[in-house]
Amino acid sequence: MDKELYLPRIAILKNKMDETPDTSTFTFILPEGGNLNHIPGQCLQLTVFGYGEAPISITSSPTQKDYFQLCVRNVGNVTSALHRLDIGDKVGIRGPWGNGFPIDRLKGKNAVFVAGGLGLAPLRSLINYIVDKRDDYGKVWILSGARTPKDHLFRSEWNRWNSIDGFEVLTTVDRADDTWNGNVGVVGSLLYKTDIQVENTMAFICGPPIMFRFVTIDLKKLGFADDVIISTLERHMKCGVGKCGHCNVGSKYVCVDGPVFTYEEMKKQPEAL
Amino acid sequence: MRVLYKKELFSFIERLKESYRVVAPVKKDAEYVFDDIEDAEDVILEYPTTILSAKEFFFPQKEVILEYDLGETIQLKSTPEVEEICLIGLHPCDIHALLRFDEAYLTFKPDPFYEARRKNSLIIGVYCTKPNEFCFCGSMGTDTIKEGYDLMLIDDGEKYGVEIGSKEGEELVNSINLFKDEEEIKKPRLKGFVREVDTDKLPEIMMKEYDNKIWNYFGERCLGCGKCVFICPTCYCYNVVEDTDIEFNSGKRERFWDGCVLTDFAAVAGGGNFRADRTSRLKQRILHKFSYYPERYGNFGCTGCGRCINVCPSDIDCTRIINMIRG
Ligand SMILES: Cc1cc2nc3c(=O)[nH]c(=O)nc-3n(C[C@H](O)[C@H](O)[C@H](O)COP(=O)(O)OP(=O)(O)OC[C@H]3O[C@@H](n4cnc5c(N)ncnc54)[C@H](O)[C@@H]3O)c2cc1C
Ligand code: SF4
Ligand code: SF4
Ligand code: SF4
Ligand code: FES
Repeated sequence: MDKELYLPRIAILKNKMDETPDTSTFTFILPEGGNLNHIPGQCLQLTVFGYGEAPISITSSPTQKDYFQLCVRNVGNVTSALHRLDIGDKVGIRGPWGNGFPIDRLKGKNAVFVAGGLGLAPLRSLINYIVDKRDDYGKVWILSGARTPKDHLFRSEWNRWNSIDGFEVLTTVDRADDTWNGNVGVVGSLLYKTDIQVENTMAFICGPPIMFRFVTIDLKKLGFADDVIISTLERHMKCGVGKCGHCNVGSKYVCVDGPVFTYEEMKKQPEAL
Repeated sequence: MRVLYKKELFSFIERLKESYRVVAPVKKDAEYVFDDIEDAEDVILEYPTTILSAKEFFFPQKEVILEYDLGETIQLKSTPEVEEICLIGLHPCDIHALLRFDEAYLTFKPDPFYEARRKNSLIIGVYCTKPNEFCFCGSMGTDTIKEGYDLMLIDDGEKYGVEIGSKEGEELVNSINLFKDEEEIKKPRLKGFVREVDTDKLPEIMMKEYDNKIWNYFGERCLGCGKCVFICPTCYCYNVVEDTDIEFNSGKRERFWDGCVLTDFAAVAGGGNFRADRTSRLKQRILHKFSYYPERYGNFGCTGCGRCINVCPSDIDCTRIINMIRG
């Protein structure tokens, strides 16, 4: 595989589901069958032929054996080309790469997920992994915030998650409209709306950098230690394999050493926070 | 010790040309560059330093890393095209630079393009005899060399002493009857450096002074022109562009030299830039060489070749930054 570091594999677009006006979940299959065998939290380099590559987190769980999913916001060249593809079209993928979430460290522990907007995409991979390996993990809190009700991702899964024993889903928006009678306010405020057990719990935060900063302050207040506060770093990426230098943060490369880092690790690298 | 008389050098190069693409320093206007050798008499082995480093022969300024045809089945190709190359006349600092490049490109997920070129190369170095005013290899420990070459030449007036560094080097010396057995010739010891830095605990000291105002003083003068990273023998960063034919039937992906001092290096979609100001970009260049790279790979990412100091239109000098920060 490494001999072909820059050679993408082919994947075929099987299904496309709109989540929000600018974000959709794309389901792909591999021509040879099977899935990517990824670790939740890993990402891949997606090629839309003719347009280029973009790093995208894998949002499906590796427990889904026949397909994988990417949840992508249309922001530019490659991502808009992806949104224009038809079912049956082919894309290229390199990866999965990066470290992924610490699923072994999490064994036997509880998990609190704090997502801002698109941040729920990488977290969903781990959430659904826990759903399928329920006995290995403890309680789960899913806190998700979005700008408006229309911007919430994976709404179709909220009920399913909430109905699982030991799972609790809490959601909020920055600005409500008439379709919304739930919480209004920043996602961090949800941490105080339920009894989150701090002991034996790891926190996973994904969202814009500013949200990470505020949520971390809340988590520290609640008593979470730096090494159980876990997040992902997003950087410009060109190669995904520790060569092009674009994702360099201190002595780390986000593409190969990350994208998942503990707050403790981030504090050691200049420019990480 | 094996020796090669200088009057035999041309014959030696002619012999090499039978099996290799031969590259060596030649004079171009008032300066020196590594170039393909048509005529063995153009080779100059006594030179201060070349303008450009030798990295382009392993990591070209631009190269295709993927080609594709979008027919019924998609055809993909990502194969390096390489030729046997012999580089003659590299100074110890530039051989160290290749070893640094190897650390970055071969120790983890080897880069197939770079790897193929490195494997098909023969390195015949020459000990430098006279540093120029920009060199500080004496401080970086790169003024002499123990590995990374096939042969190493030691200038001794009318002849070169030949150090053998590899099996290929030994076979080469044995297969060409131009080499004689004579007395040991000592390696030169470089003296007279104008520039010096103290590398003791340097990675830690640089990090401790992360917020020092000195960074702004230099950062504000940096033009972001990128000359320093392009001529640097150890800078390996690149960017990628996609190029297709007008009907989207086929295309290619090319990588080309990029550098952290350029404005958009850390920019992301939606207008964000993780290094929006010049100071943060210059800091990345210097800290990557003297703190981050050593923390990751164990050696300094700088060989003290001095090229970046020579070339900078704003007189930004990493030795001066280091010395001011060390106080
Ligand atoms: C680890 C990681 C995981 C990601 N996961 C997702 C995901 O699950 N869903 C999703 O929608 N987006 C995700 N992104 C962001 C996504 O990569 C960018 O939105 C995308 O690269 C934009 O490409 P473009 O060509 O459409 O935009 P353009 O603006 O046209 O891109 C310009 C160039 O900048 C680069 N670039 C721009 N923004 C980014 C960025 N944020 N990160 C890296 N490179 C960038 C692109 O490679 C491209 O070459 C992730 C980014 C990273 C680093
Ligand atoms: S050569 Fe000098 S001015 Fe140009 S980018 Fe480098 S440090 Fe800045
Ligand atoms: S940073 Fe400057 S002195 Fe150091 S290796 Fe690069 S060009 Fe040479
Ligand atoms: S990060 Fe900057 S200094 Fe380091 S190799 Fe890349 S361009 Fe050179
Ligand atoms: S994306 Fe190229 S080094 Fe990380």
